[in-house]
Amino acid sequence: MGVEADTLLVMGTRRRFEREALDHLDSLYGTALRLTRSQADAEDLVQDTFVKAFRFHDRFEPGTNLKAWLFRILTNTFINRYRRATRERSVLDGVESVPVGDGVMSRATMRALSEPLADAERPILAREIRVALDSLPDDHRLMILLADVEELSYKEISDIVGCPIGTVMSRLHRARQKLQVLLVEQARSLGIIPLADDASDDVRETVSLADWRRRKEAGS
Amino acid sequence: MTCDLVLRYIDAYVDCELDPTAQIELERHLAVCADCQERLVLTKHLKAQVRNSLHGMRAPEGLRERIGLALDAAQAAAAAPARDRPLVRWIPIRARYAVPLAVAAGILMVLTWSVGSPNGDVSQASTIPMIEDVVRLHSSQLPPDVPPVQQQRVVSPQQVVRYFRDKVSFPVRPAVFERQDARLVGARLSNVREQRAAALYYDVGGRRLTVVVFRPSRAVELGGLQQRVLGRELHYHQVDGYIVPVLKENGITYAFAGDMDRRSLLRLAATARVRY
Repeated sequence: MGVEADTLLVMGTRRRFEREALDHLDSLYGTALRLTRSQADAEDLVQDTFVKAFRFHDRFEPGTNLKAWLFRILTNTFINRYRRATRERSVLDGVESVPVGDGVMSRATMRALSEPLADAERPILAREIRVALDSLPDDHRLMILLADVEELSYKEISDIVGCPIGTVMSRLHRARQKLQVLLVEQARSLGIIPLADDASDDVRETVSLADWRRRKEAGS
Repeated sequence: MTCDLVLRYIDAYVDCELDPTAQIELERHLAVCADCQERLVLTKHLKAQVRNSLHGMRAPEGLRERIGLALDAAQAAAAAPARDRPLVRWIPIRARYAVPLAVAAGILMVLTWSVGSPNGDVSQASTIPMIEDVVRLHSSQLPPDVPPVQQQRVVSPQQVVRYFRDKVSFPVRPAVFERQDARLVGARLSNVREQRAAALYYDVGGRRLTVVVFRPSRAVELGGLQQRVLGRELHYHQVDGYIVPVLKENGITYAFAGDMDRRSLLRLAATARVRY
C-alpha cells in the first residue's frame, strides 16, 4: 500500500491533535464522570468528545483556547445524547425537588460550615460534596464543575455553555445556593452542625425569602 | 449596597469576576456587615472544598488507549471516504460470505447456557451492574465505530471480526439469527464494568437490537429468570424495563437488549448462533 500525501497529512494532524488534546483527558474525564454519574457513560462521553474534536479539528482556530473548545464539545455531546437518560434517572431519585431556599441560613450555621475540618472529617465532607453535587440538576452541576473544579472564567464558561455572562453569573449563584442548602441538610443529619438554629435567623430569613420570591417572579 | 445585592454578587466577587466599581461597593458593605462577612467566608470555603474534593481526578487506565483506537477508526474513515470505496471490492466479500453462511447451518454452534448452579444470590448481585451496562449501551444509541457501508446499510461480519481482533482479548463472532430480516448494521468498542466489550448493532425488521459480547473478569453465574423458548432453556434479566436474555459460550457472554417485544426478543436470543 503506497503512502499518499493525504495520509501523511492526516497522520501529522493526528499526532499534533493527540499531543495537545490528550493533555486535557483527566479534566474532561473528571467532568464527564460528575455529569453522567457513571464511569461507563463518562468513558463513552470522553471518547466521543475526542472523536468529534478530531473530526472537526479544522474548525478549531489555533492559538485560541483548546480546553474551552473541548469542554464545549463535551458539554454539547452530553446535552444531546446522554442527558435524557440521566435526567430520567434523576427524576426517579426525586432530586428535581431540591429546595431553592436562598440564603435562609443563620450566621451560626454558616460559621459551622466554614470551620476548618479535622483530618478525619475531610473524606466525609468530600463524599458529601459529591453526593450533593450529583443531586443538582445538570445545568447547575455543570456550572459548579466548570467554575469551581476547572476554575474557568465566566467568559470561558459562557463560550462553553453558549449563554451570556450574566446568565452564567446567575446560574452559578443559584447552583451554589442549592449546594449550600443540601450540604446544610447533610451536615445537620451528620451532627456536624446543630439541628436547631439559634436566634440570629430572623432578619436574614425575611430578606432572602422576599428576594427569592422576587427573583422567582422575574423568572431568572 | 444592601445585603440583598451582596448575596447576589458574592459569587462573582469570590470568583474575581466583579467589575471594580461593584467590588468597591461590595467591600464597603462587607466592612460593616457581619452576616455578609460570614457569607463571604462560607462561599469562599465551599468553593475551595468543592475543588479539593473533586479536583485531580484521573482518567482510568485504558481510556487513553481506547481513545487512540477510536481515533484510528476516525482517521481511517477520513483517509478513505466511503464514496471512494469501490463497490466491486465489496461484492465478492459478501458473496464469499453468503454461500458458506447458507450451508453452514450444520457447523454453526448453538449458543448455549453453560449449566451451573441454578441459584446464586451472591453472584446475582455482581451480574446486575453488567446487565445495566448492557442496557445503557443499547439505550444510549452511541454511534458505531464500524459504520455500515452506505449503499448496503449492513456491515460484513468479517469487518467486525477484523475490527475487534486487536482490541479485545477474546474472539468476537457476530451472532446470526433465524429471522431473515435481522441485519448486522454496526459495531462499537465499549465496556461492561471494567472489561472491554463489543457492542454489535442489529436491525431486526426496523427495530434495534444490541448484542453485547464480553468476557467477565471472573466466572460469574448469569442467573436471572428462566424460560423455555423454542426448546431451549433461556436465562434472562429484567433491568430498567428491559428484558435482557443472556447466553454463554466458552466463557464469553452474549447479552441481548432490544426494542422489540419480549416474545420476539426471547425468540431471537433462542435462535442466536455464531460461526464456529
